[in-house]
Amino acid sequence: MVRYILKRLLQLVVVLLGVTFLTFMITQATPSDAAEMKYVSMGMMPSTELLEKTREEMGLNDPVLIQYGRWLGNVLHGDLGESSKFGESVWTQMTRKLPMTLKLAGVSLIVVIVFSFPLGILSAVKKNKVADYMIRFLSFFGVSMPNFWLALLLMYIFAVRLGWFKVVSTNSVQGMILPVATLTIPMISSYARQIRAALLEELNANYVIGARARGIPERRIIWGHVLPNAILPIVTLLGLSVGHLLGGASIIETIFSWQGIGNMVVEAIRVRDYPLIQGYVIWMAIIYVMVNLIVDIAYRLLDPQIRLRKRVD
Amino acid sequence: MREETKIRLRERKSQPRKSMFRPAKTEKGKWLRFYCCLAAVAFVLIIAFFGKYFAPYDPLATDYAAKLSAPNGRHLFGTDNVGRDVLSRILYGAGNSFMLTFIMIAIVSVLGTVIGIISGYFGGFLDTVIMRLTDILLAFPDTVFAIAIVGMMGPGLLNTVIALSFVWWTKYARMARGLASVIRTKDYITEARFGGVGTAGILFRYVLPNIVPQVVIMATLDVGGMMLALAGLSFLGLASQPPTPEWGYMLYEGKSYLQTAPWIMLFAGLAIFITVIVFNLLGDSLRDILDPKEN
Repeated sequence: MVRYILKRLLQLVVVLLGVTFLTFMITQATPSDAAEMKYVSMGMMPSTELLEKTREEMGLNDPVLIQYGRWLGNVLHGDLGESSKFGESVWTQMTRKLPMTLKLAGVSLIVVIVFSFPLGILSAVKKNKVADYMIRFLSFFGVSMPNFWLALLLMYIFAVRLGWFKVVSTNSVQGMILPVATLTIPMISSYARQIRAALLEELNANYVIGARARGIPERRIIWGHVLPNAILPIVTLLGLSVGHLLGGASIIETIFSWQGIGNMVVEAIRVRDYPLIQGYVIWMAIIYVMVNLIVDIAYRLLDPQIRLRKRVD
Repeated sequence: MREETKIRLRERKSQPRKSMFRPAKTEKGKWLRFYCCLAAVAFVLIIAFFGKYFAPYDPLATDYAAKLSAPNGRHLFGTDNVGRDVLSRILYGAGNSFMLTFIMIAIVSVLGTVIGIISGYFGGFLDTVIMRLTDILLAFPDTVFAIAIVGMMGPGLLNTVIALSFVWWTKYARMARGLASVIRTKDYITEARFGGVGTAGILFRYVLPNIVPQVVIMATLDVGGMMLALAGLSFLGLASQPPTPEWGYMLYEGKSYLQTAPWIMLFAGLAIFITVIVFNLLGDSLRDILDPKEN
């Protein structure tokens, strides 16, 4: 297990190198470079000579590979560069915004789990009954709803009309309700559907028929046998959703003015703050590889087939 | 990334999700559902491409006297902050939104399929490189990476198209590669080669026709998602530039007037919502009919 994790962490390094190099190359292809942006953000129109001098100072005239190497060296020393918009280090900027995104992601994940599992199970157990139809009908809308529209609708109904919340979210329980609702409604809908489908598939298995024939109560069949088996694919999907949430749902964060990392990157894009965007890309790459790793480990721990095979070996 | 995760990732990304409604039981029911969805899509498309001829006003004409007026007899969907008719803007915007979506789908499906076929049919080092690249790209959610790329290159319509193509081709490539590498080993390919058919001939006459139906299903299912991705990017103000009417950007404008003119965001969002639903339903029923795996 330890060797396996180490091997995976090594792959993280490879992916990081690939992603950062790719983004570095894209930055090179842009019409305006860092020297120009530096002056623009200060509100100056520099002369050609001054621009050329700054480029030389910033090392922008060196070959791309050397620039990439220098940038990489700085990153390894924990120096992600300086944000041209905010005039402080990317590191400070990121560590300030990250907790907000983590908070939103964590709460959303809990809400999704708390709601989607009971709804999915209810829908599967009461297949083709009123409850099932209602859950499926509502979740159909939840899945098809564009999240930015959902956000605006919720904001209009609950903030503008009813006045229950402020239009601009604050870092409080009350301020979190609308962003969390917008993030979780589509996820709950899609998970309820997936859990229902997974359970129904599992309910057709031979061992369920066998268990019923032996007179085991339906409740024990579902909770003791079917659910643990059906849960595995859901765990994988949940892992991927966590990755999505940690990337900062840019659109939602922007709408609700939630000061997270997704909002930060959109702002950075508007003002072409390349170091900040680079920092965001690194964060995303780390998250995705880590999430995949954790999902794999969870899979090993949860799946009795893999776990028991190990023990036999 | 471990092989199992990769396979699961691939399945999730490259396979259309579970049908929205119960699959039709009979063959006749399947076709009936298909025709209903097709009719709905045709209706939406007619509105999208001919709607501007029915538009009551010029979508760019401003009328300050009637600005921010609620839906009424003269302006069915109300007006926006400079008095432009929302209904007309939605009708004109439909053409732009659809055009862009279809162009995007065409780019990514052709690009992905070609790369996938080459990768799957020829295999070897090129295949490994392409598949590693798709591994990295598939690890990111579609829009987030696109946002990052647009960020690097700067906002604008062309850059949005490039960014979305860059992240979206992978799932077509994955599918085409999988199919091509299976087809390659089939007897009829060997026989064709013995019969003197060149590589280009084999690719075009034997491999491609076997892949196209799957590509069509995937592309149909993708219309909704692509439209959402485009609308999302222009909602962030990264894609479409004003004053061109476009649904995503209208929502963005509507956001600023949420308190005084909620009808702007209401109707623009409704247009996207209906389109996405209609295309998703068509994609589902198309898969029901064409997908050999289901039968």
